[in-house]
Amino acid sequence: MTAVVAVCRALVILFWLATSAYAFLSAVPFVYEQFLQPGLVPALVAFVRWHRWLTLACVPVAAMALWADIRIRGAYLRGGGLIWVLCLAGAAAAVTDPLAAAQPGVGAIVLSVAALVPVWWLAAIDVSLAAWPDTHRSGDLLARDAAVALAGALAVTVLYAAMGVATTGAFDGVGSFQSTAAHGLLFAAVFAAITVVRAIADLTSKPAQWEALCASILLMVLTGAATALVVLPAVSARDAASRIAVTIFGTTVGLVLAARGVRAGRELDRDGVALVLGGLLPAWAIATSHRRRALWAVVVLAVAIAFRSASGAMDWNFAVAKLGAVVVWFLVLATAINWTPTRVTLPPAVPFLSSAAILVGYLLTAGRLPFGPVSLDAATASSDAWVVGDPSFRTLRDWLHRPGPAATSGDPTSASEGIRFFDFLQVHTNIGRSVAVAPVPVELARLEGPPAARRPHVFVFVVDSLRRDYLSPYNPGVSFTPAIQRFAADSTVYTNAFTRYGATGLSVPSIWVGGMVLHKQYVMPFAPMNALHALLAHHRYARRMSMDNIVDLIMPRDTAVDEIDRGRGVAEFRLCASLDNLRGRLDTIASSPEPTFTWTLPQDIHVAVINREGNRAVDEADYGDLHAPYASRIRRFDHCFGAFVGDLKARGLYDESVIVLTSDHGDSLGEEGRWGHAYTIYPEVVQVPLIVHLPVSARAALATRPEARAFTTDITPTLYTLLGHRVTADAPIFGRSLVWPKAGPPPARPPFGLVASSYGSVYGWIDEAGSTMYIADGVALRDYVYELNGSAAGVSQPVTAAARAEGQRRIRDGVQLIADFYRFRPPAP
Amino acid sequence: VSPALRLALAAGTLTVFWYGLFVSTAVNDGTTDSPPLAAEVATGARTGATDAATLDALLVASREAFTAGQWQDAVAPTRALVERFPGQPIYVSRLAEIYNKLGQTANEAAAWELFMERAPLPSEACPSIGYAYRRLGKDELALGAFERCFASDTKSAELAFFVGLANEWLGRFTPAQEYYERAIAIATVHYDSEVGLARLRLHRNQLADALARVTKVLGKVPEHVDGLLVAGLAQQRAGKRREARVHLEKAATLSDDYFDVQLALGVLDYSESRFAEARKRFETAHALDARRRDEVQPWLERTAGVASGKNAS
Repeated sequence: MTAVVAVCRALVILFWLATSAYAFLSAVPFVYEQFLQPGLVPALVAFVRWHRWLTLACVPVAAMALWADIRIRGAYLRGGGLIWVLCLAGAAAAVTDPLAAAQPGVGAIVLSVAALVPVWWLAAIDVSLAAWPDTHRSGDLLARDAAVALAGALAVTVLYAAMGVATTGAFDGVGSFQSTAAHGLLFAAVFAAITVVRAIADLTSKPAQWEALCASILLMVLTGAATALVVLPAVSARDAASRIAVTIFGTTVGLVLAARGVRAGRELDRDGVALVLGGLLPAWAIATSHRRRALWAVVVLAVAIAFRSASGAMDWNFAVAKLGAVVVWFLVLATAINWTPTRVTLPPAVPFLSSAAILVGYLLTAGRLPFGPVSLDAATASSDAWVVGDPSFRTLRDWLHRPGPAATSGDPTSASEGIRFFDFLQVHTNIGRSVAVAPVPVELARLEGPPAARRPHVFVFVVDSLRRDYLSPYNPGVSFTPAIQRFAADSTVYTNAFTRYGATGLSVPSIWVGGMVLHKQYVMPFAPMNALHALLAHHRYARRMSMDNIVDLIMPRDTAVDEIDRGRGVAEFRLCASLDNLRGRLDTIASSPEPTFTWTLPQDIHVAVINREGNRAVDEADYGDLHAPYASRIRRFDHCFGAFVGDLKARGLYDESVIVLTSDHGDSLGEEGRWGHAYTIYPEVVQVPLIVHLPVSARAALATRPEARAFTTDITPTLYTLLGHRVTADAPIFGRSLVWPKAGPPPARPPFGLVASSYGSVYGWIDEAGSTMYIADGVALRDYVYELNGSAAGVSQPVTAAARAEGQRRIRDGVQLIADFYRFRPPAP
Repeated sequence: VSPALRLALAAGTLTVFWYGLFVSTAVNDGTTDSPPLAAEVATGARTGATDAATLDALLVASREAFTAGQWQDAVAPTRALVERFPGQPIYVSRLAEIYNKLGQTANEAAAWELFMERAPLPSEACPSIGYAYRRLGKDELALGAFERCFASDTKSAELAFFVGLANEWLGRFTPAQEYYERAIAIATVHYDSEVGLARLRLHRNQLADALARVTKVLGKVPEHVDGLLVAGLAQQRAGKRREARVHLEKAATLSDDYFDVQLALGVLDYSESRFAEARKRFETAHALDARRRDEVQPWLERTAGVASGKNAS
C-alpha cells in the first residue's frame, strides 16, 4: 500500500511539474513557433492532446496518494481541500483546455506558476505532518561535512572523467585539472553553505529544528538557482517573468524533496541537513547494508549514463547534459552526507584553507590570475577539449566563465551608445511579441510591366539540416549520393555557400525576403517584406508547395496554392513523398501555360525526426566515420531526387527549369561533442550546400562565380535576375544575384558577412573570402574564431584581442544595419 | 569552534569564492613584456584594465585632462581607453587630437590611421590625417589618405577637394584640376575648389584667368584667405603691387600664421625695397613652418644685412 501511495504521489507531482514546464515553454516565442506548433516532439503533442483528461484523471490518483493523510485527524481539510481544488482544476481544464491554448505571453507564465499550486500543497501537507524531532547531532560535524564535500567532489570528478575518457579516448592534463578544481569548488561552496546553516541553527534555542528548516531553504535555493542556470540559457530567456517562473519551478522541486526528507526521516537518527537531503534518496539507499549501498551507487551511475545517452541522441544547447549533471551532483551530495560517518576529526582551519587553495588552483589553471603557468587562451583550449566528454565540467565551466573584453558602441550619436556588446546583441535578439514593429516594404527591384516572356519553372528544395560534406559534389569520399552527383554535374555547385541563420526559424524567412530579417518571430504582416512572393505573384507563377509552419506564416495559404503535402504535419514532410506528389503533377505542369514554382522543406534528416525514428540507420550500408542514421536517410532521398530529375528530363522540363538544392542550415553531428543546431553557428551549422541548375538558355547568357562566398539569401535575388530584373536594393543586408549577364560586370557585393542564430544572441562574421569566421556567443558569453578550411567543422583558432575587436565591431555594425533598415529601436529597459 | 566563528569562516569562504570567480576580471593573457607604445596603439592588442572602477577612473581622467587642455596628462588614460575599447573610435580620434596638440605628428598620423581602420565613417579622419602627413613631409601618404576618405564617401565635395589639394601639393596639376572640378560638380558651389582652380591657373601663369576666377569667389566670400592669397600673388606677378598688398595684408590680418601669406608679403616688401619689413616677414615665415625653411632661407640671406645694419643685397 505504501508503494502505491508513493507512486500515486509521484505521478501527481510529475504531472503538475510537467504541466508547469510545458506552459513555460509555450511562453517562449521561438520554442512555441518552432517546436510546439509544428509538433516536433510527439511526446509533447500527446501530452497536450490528453492533458485535459489527464487533469481529471489526476483527481482519483491524488485521492489515493492522500488517502492515508486524509484519514489522519486534522488532515481532512489539508488533503481534502487539495482534492476539491484538483476537481475544480480538472473541470476547468476539461472545458478550456488551457495548455493547448497557451501562447507566448504573460498568460502562459501565470499558468506555469499556477500549475505548481498542487505541488506546493502536497509539500505543505508533508511539512505539516513531519514530526520535526530533535534530530541527532553528534561528533565533529564540521570535519564530517568537509569529508562529505571531498568525497562528493572526488566521486563526481572521477565518474565524469572516466565516462569522458571512455567516450572520447582523449585525455588533457590541464583540462582534467580544471575539472577537478571546478568540482572541488562546487562542493567546497556547498560545504561552506552547510556550515552557515549549522552555525545559524546553533545560535538559536532549537538548533536541530532550525537546522532542518534552514537546510530546507538551502536546498530550495540551490535547486532554484541550478534550474535557472540550466533552463534560462537553454531558452535564451532573460526577462524578469521568465526568470521568476523558472526559479519558482526549481524552488518547488527543492521544496518537494525537502518536505519528503523531513517527513520521511522522522524516525531516523540523523542531523537536520542529512534529514532534508535524505528526501532525494529512496529509504533503502540510506541503509547501512553494503549490498544496498552498492546497488544505489549503480543507480546513480545509471542516471549519469542515461542522461549522457539522452543528450547524445537529442539535446538543446546541452540542456539535457547539464540537467543530468545537476541531478547527479544532488544525488551524490545527498548520498555522501547520509553515508559518511560522524567519526571524522580534522583541525577546523583545514577545510577553509583547503577551500582557498582549491580556488587558487582553479584560477591558476583557468588562466584567471594575471600570472601562472597557463594563459587564458591555453586554458580555454584545454577546457574546450575536456568538456566534450565531461558534461558536469561543461556545466560548471559555463557558469564560471566570464566574457572577454567587449566593446561598447563608439558612435556617440548612436542610440546604442554606451551599451556593452553582448547586451547590445541581446536587445536586438528574440524581440518579443509584445514589441510592436511595423513591416518595412522590401523591394529588391521594381516589378513593373507584364510578366517575363520566358518564365522557367522553379523548383526549390530546402532540405532541413542538410550538410554539404554528406553530398558527393562537396565531398569526394561520399559515394551514396549518385543522383545528386549527376545533377551537380550539369549545374553550378557553389562551394563556399553559407546560411544566414543557424536554424530554420529565421533562415527560411530570410530566403524568401532575399536578405536578413529582424530577429523577431515574426514581424507581421510579413507580406510587405516577402520579395520572393511578390516576384511569383508578378510573374503569375502557379505555386505547388509544401506549406510548412513558417511559410504558412510568411505567405499565408490561399486557394491558389496547390499543396503537395496536404494533410501532413511539418514533422512528416519527407522529400520522397513530396517528390512523389510532385511527379504526379508533372504532366499538368508540362501542359500548363503558367510556370510552376515549387518549395519544399523536407524533414528527413532533422535531428528530432531521426531521434523519433530511433536514431538508427535505415539501411545496413557502411558509412565509415559518417553518422549512419543521417547518411542513410540522405541515401534514401537521393534515389527519389534522381527519379524526379529523370521525370523532368523525360518530359523535356529539365532544360527549361531552375532547380535549387540547398538547406536552411547544417547540423552538428558529434563534432567536439556537439549535436543538433540549437543556438550554435559553428562551421558545420552555417556551411550549406547550394547547387543551382539553370535553363539552357540562361546558362548560355549568364556568368557566375561558384567559388565566391555565397549566402542562401542570394537565391531570391538570383531568381529576380533570371526573370529579367536588375536588383536595385543596395542595403548590405540583402543578398546579391549569383548570376549576371556575361557581357556585364558582376553585381557589386558588399562585404557583409553577418550570420546569426535563429533563437539566441549568437552572431558571427564570415570574411569576404569565406575562409575565417568570428563567432560572438551571447548565450555562453564567449567567442571563437574558426578557419574555414573546407572541412565540416573548420579549425578552431585562438581569439586574439585584435580579432575580437574587429569581429565585434563588424557584428555590431551589421546588427545595427538590420535594425536601421527595419526601423527598430530597442525599447528602454 | 564557536558557531559565530564557523559562521564567519564559512561566510568568508563564500565571499572569497564570489570575488575570485565572479568579480575579479584578472586574466593571464600570456604576455610578460609591454609592447612599445606605437605597437600598442597601432594594433590595440593589449586588453589592459578591465574592472569597472578602473574603467570609470580612466574615462574621467581622460575626459577631464582633455577638456582642461592638459594634453600630456590626457595621453595615458586615453591610450588605455583605446586599448580597452577597441571598438570605440571616439577614443582614437581623441588620442589623435591630443598628439596633434602635443606636436607628436607621427603618433597623430598613426592614431588617425587606426581611426580609419575602426570607425564606421573613416572619412571623419579627414582632413586631419592628410595634414598630419603633410606636416611630416609625406605628401604621397597624405594623398593616399585623402583618396581613401573620398573612396568611402564619393558624394562628398569636401573630400574630392582634398584629393585635388594633395595632388596640387605633389605638383600633379591635371588630376588636381579634375578633383576640384569634381567637387564643384558634386556641390555645385564649392569656393575652396574654385580657389584651387584659380591657383592652378596661377601655377600655369594664366594670371588674368586666375584673377578673374578668384575675384568671383571674393565677391561672394570676401574673407576667403586662400582666395586673398591667390589674388594677391596674381596681382603681384601682374605688377599691380598696390592691389596685391591690399589683398595680402587682409589675408595676414585674417590669418597671421599663414606661411605663404607671410612669404608673399615679404617678397612684396622686398620688391618695394622695404627691406626691414621684408626681413620681419621672412623671419615670421621661418618661424611658422620649419619644414619650409628652405623656401624662406634665400630671402633671409638676402635680407641678412638688415639685421646687421647693412643694406640688403
